[in-house]
Order: sequence, then C-alpha cells, then structure tokens
Amino acid sequence: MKKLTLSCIAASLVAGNLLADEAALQAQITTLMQKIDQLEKNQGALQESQTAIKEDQTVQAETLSKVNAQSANDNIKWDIDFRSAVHSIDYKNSNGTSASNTLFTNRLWLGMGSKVNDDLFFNGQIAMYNYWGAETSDLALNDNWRASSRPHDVALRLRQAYFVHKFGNDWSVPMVASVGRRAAVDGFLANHREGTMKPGSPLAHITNMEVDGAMMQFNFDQVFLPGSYLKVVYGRSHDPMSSAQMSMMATPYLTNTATGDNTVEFIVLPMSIYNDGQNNLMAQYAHITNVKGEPAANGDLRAAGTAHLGAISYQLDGLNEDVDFLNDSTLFASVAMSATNPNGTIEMLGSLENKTGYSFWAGFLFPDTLTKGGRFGLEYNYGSKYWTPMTWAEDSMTASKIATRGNVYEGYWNIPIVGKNLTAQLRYTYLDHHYSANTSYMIDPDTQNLDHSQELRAFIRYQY
Amino acid sequence: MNLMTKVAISAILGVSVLSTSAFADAEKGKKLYQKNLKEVCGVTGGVFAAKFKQADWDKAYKAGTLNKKMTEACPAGKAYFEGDKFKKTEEHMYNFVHDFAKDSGNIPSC
Repeated sequence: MKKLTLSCIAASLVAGNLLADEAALQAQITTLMQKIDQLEKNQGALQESQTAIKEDQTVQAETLSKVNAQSANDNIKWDIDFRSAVHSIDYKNSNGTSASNTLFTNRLWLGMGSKVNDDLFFNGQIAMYNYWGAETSDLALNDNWRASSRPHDVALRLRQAYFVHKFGNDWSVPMVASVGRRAAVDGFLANHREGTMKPGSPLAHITNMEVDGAMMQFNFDQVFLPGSYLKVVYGRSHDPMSSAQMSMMATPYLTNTATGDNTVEFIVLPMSIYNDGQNNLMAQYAHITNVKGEPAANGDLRAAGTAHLGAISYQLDGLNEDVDFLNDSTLFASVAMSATNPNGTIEMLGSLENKTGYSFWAGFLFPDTLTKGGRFGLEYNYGSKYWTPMTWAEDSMTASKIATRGNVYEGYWNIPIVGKNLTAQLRYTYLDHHYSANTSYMIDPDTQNLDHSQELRAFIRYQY
Repeated sequence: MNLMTKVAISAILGVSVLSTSAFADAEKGKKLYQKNLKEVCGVTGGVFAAKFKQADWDKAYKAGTLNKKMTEACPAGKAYFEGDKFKKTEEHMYNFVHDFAKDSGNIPSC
C-alpha cells in the first residue's frame, strides 16, 4: 500500500512536471510563432523595399542611358563672359580743334573647353564685340538693327582656339606643346585694368595681339627658381593673299609679294623668372620680321624691316601680411624697349636708320574699403619718341594706352556686385601725346596729330 | 560727358551699393597656396586640390573643418592650416580647392 501511494505521488509529480514543461514549451512555441510572423512581415516589407529599389535602379539606368546617348561625343564645355559698357571719348587735336563721342558696346565671349585627360586639353573662345548701331559691310541687307532677326549671313569671330599637350611630367624639365590661335591678349599686368583676375599669357607691356602660333614651354620649376619657365613661340601674323588668289587663280593660295608686301613672322620668348605667389618676375623678348614701313604711293603695304621688343615686369601681391589693407594691395612696375631695323629702302617710323624706344609702366591697386572685395587702381605709363610695342588689340577706345609716346594717367575702380559673377568697373584714361598717336610702324613720330585724348568707361559684366 | 554717360555711370555707382557677397576667388587661393604651401607640401596646387572631390571639400568647409581636410591632403602643412593666416584666407583657399577638385572637370589654360 505504501509502495502504491509512493508510486502515485511520483506519477503525479512526473505528470505535473510534464504538464509544466508542456506549458513552457507551448509558451516558447507561441513566442517563436510570433517572432516568425514578425520576420515574415519584415521580410515582406524588405521585399517591397527591394522591389522599389530595383524599380528606381531601372529608372536611373534608363535615365543614364538617355544622358549617355545625348552626351555621346559631346566633349565640350561652355562658359560665358558678357559685358555691356559705355565709353565717353574725347580728342584734342594738335591744331587746337577737338572732337568727342559716346559709344555703347556689347562684348560676348563664349569660352570653350575640352579635356581628354590632365595632359591633353583644348581651349577656345568665340567672340563678338560691337558698338551699338554698328553697320555690317553690306549696308543694303545687313543693317545691324535687324542682323539677328532677318535671314542673311552671320559671321562669328574666333578669338582663341588651341590645344595643349603636357608631357615628361616626371622629367626634371616637364614640357608643354601647344598649337593654334593662342591667348596673347590681356596679358600680365593688363588684366588689372580689364578687371580680370587671371592674366593672359604674354607680357602686356609689349604684346597684346590675337596671334596664330605654335608654342613649346619648358618648366624649370624643379631645377631653377620657383615658378620659372620659358616659352618659345613661333607665329605668323600677316600673309599677303587677296581673295582672288584664293579662288580664281590656277595656282591659288600663293603669297602675293608683287607689291613688296611680305609675310610677317615672329619668334617670341615669354618667360617667368620667379613666381612664389607673392613676387612675380617675368620677362619677354620678341623678334618680328617684315614689319610694314612707309606705304607705297597707292597705299600698298611694304615690308620694311625687323622689329625687336623686350620687357621685364614685376608684380608684388600683398605688401604686408599683418595689415589687411596692404595685404590686399598689389604693386607692379615694368620697363620695356622697342627697336627697329629697316632693310634700307623703306622707312620705318619715318627713318631708314635703326631707332630705339623706351617705356615705363607702374601701377598700384588697393582695397576700396567701400565694397566687399572692390579695389581701386592707379596706373602711369610713359613712352619715348620711338616707342612702338605690338599692343594693337588692347581694349581702349582711344587706341593703345601702352603704346602712347608721352604720359598716360589712369584710374579705375573694379567692383564685385555678386561675387565674381557680376562685376562692374569705372575707368578713366588720359593720354598726353608728345608725338604722333602711335598706330603703326608706318608713321613718323614727328608728325604729331593729337595733343591729348581721354576715355571714361563704365561697364557691367556677367561671367559664369 | 553727355547725359547718357552720366546716367550710365550713376547706374554703375548705384549697383555697386548692392555689392553683397565677398569676392572670393580661386586665383587668389592658388596664389596663397603657391606662396605658403607649395614648398611645404611638395606638390603643385592642382595636385593638392585634386586630393579630394568637390563634395568632400564642400562638406569640410560647411562643417568648419576645412583645415583638417587640408591637413589630410598635406600633413606637412598642419601648422599653417591651424594658424591665423589660414583662417583669414579660408574662403579663397576653399574656392581654389573646389574649382580644382578631383571631379571638378576644370580645364586649365596654358
């Protein structure tokens, strides 16, 4: 009996335990089931997300395909530089009479850039620069006031177009080769009076021209002074060829030298001697052949001899780091000379003898303290009797101020309105002529025609 | 000077009053690099700026940590990046590295 009782108790305990285990198990199963349900829900949401992502990817891939198809072989980038200006010009002739005018101008530069890689790229610039009310050569059809609205021919001018190939980057003297219509305008020091931060390639004291040429640059930065380089430029600036010779002759495209005109070629050596970002010392030599001298009686151009030009220019950016005003100021000075070497029969600058001219140019730019980033600039330059640089593309309505034989005083105010994207400038230039206004090598400096001339210019400029 | 010239010049002067944003310029930043860092970092400005993408430079500039990002690009320039001179010219330096960043697509001239 006792045994039976114990057995019953033991059985009850076992059954109780079993029941308890079963309940716990059931609870665990319930929990697991809940978790599985949650996981299934999550998985459903995940699948929905994945489906959405796949759909997005499909849309993106389709968009990319469209972009890819649209941009295939489209390897050019454009930028814009548009300027509207008013120019008030005034001339006082040496005979005492005077004349003045007010011009409005629009200038559009469409910049082009194409880059294969860091060592091979192209730069170009299409330009339009007109004065309001200008007429084209065909007055009957091409009146400027309907030039873009009525159907007829349109001419675009190419200001720059050249490719650049860098090579030998791991050599002691890396090199750069370039061919095309090179950037030889608004060069070193002239950029300030144009309200441009970055100057063009040559020294503006002796060169400000649009030129076609080939250039080889040698970078001596690693073996000589910081920032030093030498460029060797060959170019051709005049090839006498009439339109008839291009199309109506049995032997087209031959240079016509019958009148004594000859092809003008040049070798130019611009060089950076030292540039550490604050001190910039540059120099340049130019040799130009077949420069035109006194024209024939019928006005034909005639090659008269050779011209040599040389300049050394220095710029100091930031006069004193501890004084904000001086740190944002710039000082520059430049000396230059020009020399003529006539062949012997045709006069250059009114003489058959070699003549040498000299020039000095200095400027100071400083913060205006009125606007954020605006600067005032003051410049002075002087040219002697036979001073004749190649600066015919300088953007001055009263002719090149750098080429003036006499004194030139200039003041300007460069004003950023919306950062560097919208800027303005006020500029006044006074040219005090001691000899004839300098327009070419054909004229005798002693034939003075102007006493003085002046220009007041105001522009507003959009760049992006 | 005729009336139209006076009007045009007055307009320019009037517009100048609207000058709002600082004239930060990449060219100035490039000169600052040449002057203060080229020798220290041992690479040209173009190589320095191309160490990071535009978004990286942007992010650091907006977070006020451009000096640290530039130190990453040029550890030897740490002293300069942490100095007062850098703080004063930070905006020019930012414009410079942004314009010549790895993915800027900038095409240099020569």
